[in-house]
Parts: sequence; structure tokens; C-alpha cells
Amino acid sequence: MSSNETHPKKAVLYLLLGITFEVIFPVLVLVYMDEIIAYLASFLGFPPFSITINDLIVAYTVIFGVIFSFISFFRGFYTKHSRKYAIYDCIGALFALVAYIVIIGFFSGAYFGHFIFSVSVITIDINIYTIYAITIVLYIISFIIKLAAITEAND
Amino acid sequence: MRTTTVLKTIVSVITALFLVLQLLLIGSAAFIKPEYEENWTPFGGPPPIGFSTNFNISNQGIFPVQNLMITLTIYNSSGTILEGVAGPETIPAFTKSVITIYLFPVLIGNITDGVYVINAKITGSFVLSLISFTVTLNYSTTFDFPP
Repeated sequence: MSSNETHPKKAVLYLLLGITFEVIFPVLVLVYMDEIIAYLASFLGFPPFSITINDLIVAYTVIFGVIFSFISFFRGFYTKHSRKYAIYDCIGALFALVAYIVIIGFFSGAYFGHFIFSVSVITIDINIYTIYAITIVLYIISFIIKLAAITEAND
Repeated sequence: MRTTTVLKTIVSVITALFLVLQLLLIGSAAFIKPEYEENWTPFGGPPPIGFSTNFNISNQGIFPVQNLMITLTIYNSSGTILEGVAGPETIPAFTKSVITIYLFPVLIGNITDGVYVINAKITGSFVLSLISFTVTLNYSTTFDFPP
């Protein structure tokens, strides 16, 4: 164990949480999608959306983007500056950036940066283009800072 | 604490809060529910130069809807077309507003009772236009105009 890691157990805990949210939960959501939609529709009433798998993936990315960000924050907070962790952190930031652009961009209905729901005769088109662009800029800044942190890290 | 650690912390927190805001805004837009309420009232004239009718807009989201505009077109198979625009309006969170739209004939035809196609487009935005939305309704229904 490196002397740079002040709280290795917590670092491992947050790494496991990251894997759980990034791998296990999405698989469960995809497998049990029909049941989840039926459950949501049972008590949400309108809009319960005519949820497609694309909508669900987009919603999942946004919801768990928040969790990923906090995991990333705590992982950085509870570990010190070893180059190994800095590289992992940077790869994670690049993954988050690409995942956000690809998933939100290409899975949000027919248009880039739009959510489109249909409920009987009603169609709702939500244009998130502005907030989408700002979020991408934030992800890029995050990636650049983490790239810089590699050079600043201890060997 | 190192510079990059401080910057990473700040950007992570801002990104997380921004994603929370994004989620809330998308959720709010999804809870805009327009309901057409047939309530034909002639105005102008006689004979009337047009008819007004109502739309109920329910905003069950946590943000007020800004710049709400409704564009309504109705037409029948015999070539009668009526069009009207209402707004801009602001609808507070967790409220329902009744918006009256004044419709004027675009093509001269007989405004008679019968089956019409109703085509409505409702646009609006939230929080400095960070998110905007367009709701469209398109269906056929039977109208009964007052004598």
C-alpha cells in the first residue's frame, strides 16, 4: 500500500460504489425495464411518459451523473496525490465526458439535445441544448484539471 | 491543499449541482399538461368576426413557466380555417391557468358545427431559457358553435 493513500478503505469503498452504479445498476435497469415502467406508471399518472429505452438511458445518465460527480469528489477527497489515482481519475473524467455527449446526444430522440415524449395526442419536445452545452463545458474543464493533476501528483 | 485538488473539488461540486438543476428542469418540463376546453364565445360583430375558446395549462413542475405562447389552428373538411395566438404568459409552479385564445377566420368558409382538426402548439421556457419546451396537440373532435 502506498504511503500516499491516507484512507485506502474509503477509496476502495467509493471505487466499488462507482462500479455498482456504472455497471450493475444499468444492467438491472435494462433487464427489468418493463417492470420499472409499469411501476412508475402505476402512481405517476400523467405524464408517466411513453418511456422508450432511449429515454430511460438518458434519464439514467443525468440522474447518476450527479452520483458519479459526488463519488468522484469523495474519491479525490479521501485519497492523496499518487500518480496512479490521478491517472484513474483522469480516465474517469474522459469517460464521463464521452458518455454524456454520446448518450444524451444520440439517444435523446431524433434531435441532438432534445427529449421527446409522446402521450396519446400530445407530443412534448424538451430542448435542453443550452444546459447540455454548459454541462459539456464543465466536463471538459474537469478533464483538463484532472489531466493537470497528473503532473502535479507524487510518483 | 494543492491547486488542482481545490479546482477539482470546485468543478465537481458545480457539475453535480448543475446536473441536479438539469434533472429538475427536465422533470418540470415533462409535467406541463395542456388541456383543451371547448368554450366557444363569439366576439365582434354582429356578425361575429371570430370566436374565443380556452386552454387549461397545468404546471406541476417546481419552476414557473415563462414566455408561454399558444398557437391554435382549427380546420374542417370544407375548408374553414381559424387561427389564433395567445401569450406570452407566466404560469407559477403548481398552478393551473386558463388561457383564452381569440380565433379569427383565415379562409372564409362557413363556421358550422361539425368535425374539426385541432392543432395546438404550446411553447415556453424555464429559468432564463436554460430549457425550453414545445408541446403539440393534434386530433379531431366535434365542435358546437353557439348560434
